[in-house]
Amino acid sequence: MLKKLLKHDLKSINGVGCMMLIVMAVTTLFALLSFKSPMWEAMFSDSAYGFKFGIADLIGIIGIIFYFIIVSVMSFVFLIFLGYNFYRSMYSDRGYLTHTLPVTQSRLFLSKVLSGAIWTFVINLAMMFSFLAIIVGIINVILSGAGMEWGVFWKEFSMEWSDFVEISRTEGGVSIGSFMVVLGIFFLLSPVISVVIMFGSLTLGQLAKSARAVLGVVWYLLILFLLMLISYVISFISTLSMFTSGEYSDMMMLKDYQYTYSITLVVQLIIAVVLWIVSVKILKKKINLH
Amino acid sequence: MSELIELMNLSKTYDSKFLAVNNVNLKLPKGKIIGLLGPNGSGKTTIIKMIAGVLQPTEGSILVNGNPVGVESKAKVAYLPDRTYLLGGETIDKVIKFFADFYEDFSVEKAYEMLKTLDIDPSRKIKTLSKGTKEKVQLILVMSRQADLYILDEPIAGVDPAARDFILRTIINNYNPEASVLISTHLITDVEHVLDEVIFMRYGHLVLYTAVDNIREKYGKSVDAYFREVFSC
Amino acid sequence: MAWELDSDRPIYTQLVERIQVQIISGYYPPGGKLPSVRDLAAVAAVNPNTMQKAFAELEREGLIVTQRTNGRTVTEDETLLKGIRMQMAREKVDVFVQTLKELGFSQQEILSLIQDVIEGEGKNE
Repeated sequence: MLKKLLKHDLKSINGVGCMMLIVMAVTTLFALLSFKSPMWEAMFSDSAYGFKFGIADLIGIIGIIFYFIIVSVMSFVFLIFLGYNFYRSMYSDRGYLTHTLPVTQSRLFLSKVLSGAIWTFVINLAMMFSFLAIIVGIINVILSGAGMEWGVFWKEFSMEWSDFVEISRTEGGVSIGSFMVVLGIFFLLSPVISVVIMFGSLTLGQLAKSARAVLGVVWYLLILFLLMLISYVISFISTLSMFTSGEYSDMMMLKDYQYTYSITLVVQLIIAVVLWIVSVKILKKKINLH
Repeated sequence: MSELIELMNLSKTYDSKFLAVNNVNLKLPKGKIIGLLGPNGSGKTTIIKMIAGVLQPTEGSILVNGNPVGVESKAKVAYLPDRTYLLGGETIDKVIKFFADFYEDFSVEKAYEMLKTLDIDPSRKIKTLSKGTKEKVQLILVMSRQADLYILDEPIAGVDPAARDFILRTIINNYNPEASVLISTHLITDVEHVLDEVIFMRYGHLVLYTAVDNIREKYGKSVDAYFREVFSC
Repeated sequence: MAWELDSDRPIYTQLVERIQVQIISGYYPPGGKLPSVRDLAAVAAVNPNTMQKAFAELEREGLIVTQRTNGRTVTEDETLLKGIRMQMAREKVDVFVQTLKELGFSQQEILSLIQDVIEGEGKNE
């Protein structure tokens, strides 16, 4: 039954998901094309004299601004869509169909979370590639402006990077490798976590008598706020302990960052797990469609 | 002969004070068309929701063909709620596929046959349908199932007479001695002639459970007339 | 077309009456086959259980016979059929005479009235 649920849940997201991917692709393309504007090159080259501002340059600027707006809004908008889709399927009139299907409540919830998380992961991946493309694009502009070859740049960059990794390890006691692993885990888990927090909050909202959707949103904002607070507190404590220990350096900052990041991840994970368990309990015992 | 539905000491309390269903004990047999009658707020819909599994009892238990309300019972119960649960963007074809996917006892042929009889084009999107048509589609989906229990919550309210006719005929034609139909309605006159038995509810209590013929023979009245008598005070 | 039924009398008794008429009038001839419970219930737009009850009653009266191979058929017992025909007519006449008596008609007046009506119908045919 889970497969069937997943199939239909994914189907309900496919439309919007694909649209987002297309929008992202187009925006990235547009931004990349905007790099062709001579303005950028002129910015990074020595011969900035005689540069006249034209239409192409306007498009260039718009392209970049557009890109940033779209991309920063994109994952948030998608999460909202996922929440809306979830709410509609589970707690609107459609719920009369959803909850009378011959499946357990935990399967229902699991399918919703998985389908949302899978798509969120895909979109996050797409965003990452998009960022990469932009970064490559920027570097390209800088290099051509400075008249450097890609091969030369890459060689210098690799050297800097391995130096950095080495120093981090020896001086700061920070393993970049393991940090990358933590980032990787986070990249895999964050779709699940963000989706569970969204769906769990909406489910908590169902405990009220009225204005359930609003309450669900309130719960969501509260939990987000809580998470933000926790991460600030952790960060603060870490920085404070760093200061008081007297060992302050760039490397220590890195260690501090890794620390904060990992602990925040663990906290988010715990909250997500708790929300998941609570949600399924609510679905089993407290469900009352209007 | 085991009963199809058993309600034992069933109660539902809202907000720790409002008793929507108050200690109902009831055994319903197979092969009968049963009317669930009562004024608004008498607990009819609450009982139905609990049997269907979209609401949890506060006290007591429900058995559907020996199973508590859960995955097994939901697979054998076809529920028609009193509201539209179909979403906008899908076509009727897609909805039929959905039902066929999740319910083993769903007959796709039957569904298309009934759609044809009612002249409803299955390629249409739900949001383009009128309210009446949506209700007909929902009824068709329910009646295309070979369930043990059909629960219809106000199936004929707000429906034109021709559709009303179709609905009652479908219920009659779908009859099978292993299954029962539970119809909750306040339009007693229109359904009386197809009911075997009736349940009267009031203020969450079970007031009466008897055969329609009992009422007519004993009191020389229609169920509707007798109902008005019982509930007028 | 759904059968017209009173709502203050049990449906099955009304179904019995109606099928009796259909049998007596020859719509279902002696020895003829009857529709299944389901089919007739669908035509009449009534609950099959109720139709089943009606059939059971008719069977009890002997009007319907259930054979293993042939299903349900009308009886071929002419005496029984005649008897029921007479009984139905008698009931109608009883009611008729009673009604006219209440209106103040004497026996003689009732008889002449009947004669008039029948002759009148004879002229119209």
